[in-house]
Amino acid sequence: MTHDSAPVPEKGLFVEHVSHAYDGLQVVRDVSLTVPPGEILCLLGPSGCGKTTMLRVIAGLEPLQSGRVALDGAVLGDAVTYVPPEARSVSLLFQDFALFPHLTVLENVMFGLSRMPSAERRPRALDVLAQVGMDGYADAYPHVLSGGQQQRVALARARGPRPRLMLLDEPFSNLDFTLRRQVRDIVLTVLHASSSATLMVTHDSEEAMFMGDRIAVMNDGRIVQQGTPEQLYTAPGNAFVLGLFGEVNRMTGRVAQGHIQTPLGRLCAPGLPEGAAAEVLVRAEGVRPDDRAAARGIVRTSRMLGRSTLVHLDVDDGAGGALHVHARLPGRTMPAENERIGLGLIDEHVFIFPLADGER
Amino acid sequence: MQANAAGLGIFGGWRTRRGTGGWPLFAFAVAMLVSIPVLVIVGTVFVPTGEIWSHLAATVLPRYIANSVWLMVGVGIGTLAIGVGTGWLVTMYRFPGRAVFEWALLLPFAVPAYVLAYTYTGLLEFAGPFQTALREFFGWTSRAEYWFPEIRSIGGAIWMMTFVLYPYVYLLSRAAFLEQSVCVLEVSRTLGCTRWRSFRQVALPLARPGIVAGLSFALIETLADFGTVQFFAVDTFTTGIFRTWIGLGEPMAAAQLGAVLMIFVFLVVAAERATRGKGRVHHTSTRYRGLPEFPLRGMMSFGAQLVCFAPVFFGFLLPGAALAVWSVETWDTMVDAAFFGYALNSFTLAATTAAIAVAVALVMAYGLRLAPTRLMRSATRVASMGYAIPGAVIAVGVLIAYTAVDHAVDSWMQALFGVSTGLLFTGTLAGIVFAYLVRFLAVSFNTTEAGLAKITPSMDAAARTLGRKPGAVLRQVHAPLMWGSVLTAAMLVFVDVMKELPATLLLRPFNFDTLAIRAYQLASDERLTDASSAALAVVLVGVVPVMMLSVAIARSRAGHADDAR
Repeated sequence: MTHDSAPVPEKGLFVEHVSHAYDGLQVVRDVSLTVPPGEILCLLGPSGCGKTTMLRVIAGLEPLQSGRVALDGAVLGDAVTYVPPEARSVSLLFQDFALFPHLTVLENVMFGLSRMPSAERRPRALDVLAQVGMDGYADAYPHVLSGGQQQRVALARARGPRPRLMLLDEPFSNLDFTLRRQVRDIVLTVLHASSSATLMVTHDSEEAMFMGDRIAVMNDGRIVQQGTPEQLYTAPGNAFVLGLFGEVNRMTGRVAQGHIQTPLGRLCAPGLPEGAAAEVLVRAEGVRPDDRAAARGIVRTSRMLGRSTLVHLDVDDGAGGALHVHARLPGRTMPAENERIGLGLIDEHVFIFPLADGER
Repeated sequence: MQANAAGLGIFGGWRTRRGTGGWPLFAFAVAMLVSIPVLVIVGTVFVPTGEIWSHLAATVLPRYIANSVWLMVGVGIGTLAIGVGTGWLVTMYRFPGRAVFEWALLLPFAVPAYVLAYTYTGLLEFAGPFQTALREFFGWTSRAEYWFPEIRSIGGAIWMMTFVLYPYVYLLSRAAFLEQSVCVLEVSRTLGCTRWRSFRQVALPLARPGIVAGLSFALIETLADFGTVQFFAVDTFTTGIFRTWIGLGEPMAAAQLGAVLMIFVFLVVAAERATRGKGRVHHTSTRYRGLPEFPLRGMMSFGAQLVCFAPVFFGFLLPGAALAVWSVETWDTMVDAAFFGYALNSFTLAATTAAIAVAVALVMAYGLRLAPTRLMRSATRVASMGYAIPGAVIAVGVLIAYTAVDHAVDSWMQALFGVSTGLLFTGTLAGIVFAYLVRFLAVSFNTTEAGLAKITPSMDAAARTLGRKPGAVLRQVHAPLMWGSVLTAAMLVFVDVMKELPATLLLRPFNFDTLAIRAYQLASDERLTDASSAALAVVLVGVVPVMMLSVAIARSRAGHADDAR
């Protein structure tokens, strides 16, 4: 009972030391996080990292096994308390929209308004439908709507009861590319206009950066790093976090006289002990042509990808083989195939992390 | 910290259980109850019956086994030929009337095999209209002057069962053919296979799981049949069970015959599982297009029509017409107050069983959804295995159990209070409804579970977070969404109970006759035309679900065409 008696913050979502297992399989390990009202926190991680379980535990759909969950100063779940989902003032937005097929759009939204005086339900429902631009479809049934429209109705339904906490479970992954951008915009606008705390689960880092005021990266049931999108991008705590935010080239080496020798040049390795194994990670956008650089590579293919160009290179690895390197160049610089070019690095895209021995 | 963790662990366990309430317990109790008859039957194997059993084994058992095997072989070949053939024709070819045949081929489903047996016997026996017409035409006067096949034989039984059971194979093989990606067939054509070779080497193997499943249903029904073989005097396990029980008064030996019969059923089920497991068929292409629907012309078209018409004619139209004519002829004497009494009895039993079966199935399916634990899964599986067990076997198992319980309760009450309770279960309506439940719970459970499975779990989560308690979720979200499957389940059980013969025969209260029993009794007395009104009533009730099935098929067909566009 060490932490259970401590007071909880008066506003927003507060999650402390939550662990969860299914049939003995530990899926969430000691997760703590807070989301102040009006803020959007994105839980980012690969599938199976435990992020959806977190969402279900917070919603009360999964009974809490250990730890504590509180919302706006009231404990929802701990060792002795269990508030059922219907009493939590929490709304969920699902990947598969989960609109009730036997109810019209309006009835779907009004389903969540049962605690309101009946005279206010209809105007409130129409109001939230108007916020997402779906008030014209009030009498339609869900099956005649497109995926994007369904998700907008689902958003209106979730917003209807003015929940204190919004939970979004991969809400855009069932939508195609163009729809996704549209719906994302609407969701962001609606959420920013509300004062709810929002927790969104996603495996897409670009989406997390687009939606989140802050991002918590989860891996294997733990939160490995939390921060603003900028912090995570510019100062990733480890190779896993770095790898989530874009394509990287990976090399390994050993520290010698404060430096590491890599196929792409000799790099400064401050703070690492002499002789330690380390991995060097360079974002694709951190590799650029530089005639003065000592490292050389042969261009294998160049592909224009719109805003940037992706260049596949073979770089001499110093041991007689070739290291395959991707370089992402801004604009339309397109080196010719089989051209041998010099390669320099942009410091802000180069990261060095220590490696445990044997883990190369 | 250690103590704390342990404390939380206990709480966690308690919490998890609190979330699901008594559902698993209920499902477990139902599974136990439902498995009683089977356990009783299996248990009797260890009861020594000495001479009776060795007598049975020496005299009748080989005949039962031989007859059962021959029936299975004959019905198997017959249902495969008709079911797969017509299934392939109506899915792959276009010919006049195909749309009608597509659902009409299911009509024989509505006719119980014993009704077909009574009808054909009435039509084809010496005094029947067919032989009479032959004699008049050729001027014969006695049976000795011409040869005519004996309908009351094992061959006749095979024909009867084939005509009413082929729809299983038709239904499932047709579904399997429809499911196949046409792309696969087209690839085989471009690789140089002829139409016939594509069918044999691609379509047939791909559809095999469906075909085998349909065949196994037909064979299980063949083994379970009592009315037909009893009427045709073909000795099988089911008639043997009755003779041993009622004729010899040897319930244990009868139960042991039931155990041997269950081995046959088990072999059929195991064989089906085995073929499914080994050649696991995955459809490699997910592209589905409108079927090619190769048009047939001239003689080919006529031939296809004939092939599709024959089973409908012999399995439904001809016997249906004969029953209708006889019913009209015997209307004044047979359709009286007593007839409506039988109908009311049938209706009461069927409606009561359907209501209970659906309620139990709903609770079990919902419990499985809330707590899909291993215990829950195996409990529901046990509870729904009754469908594979012949009615006669269930009846014997249930009766032995009832007798034991009744005796125990009676002597207990007499010892304690000096009151005799008599028979509480044996020969009561409660007793017979329970036996029906054991047999038909699977029907209602599978249907409701399928309906519930179509509702995504996010639906539950959405309703919960929008402020509904679990009960309200069931009422406001699940109930309206699965109303259709609940009704279907109730209707399927209703019809199955209406048709059921052996369990009703053994378990009904004294002088409590249903339509099926009435038809059976009149037929046993060789009053075949008199039996027609009761038989026709059973058939007409059976037509309802077949019609619904047909509508569903017609609709899925339309959807299929839509997907193609």
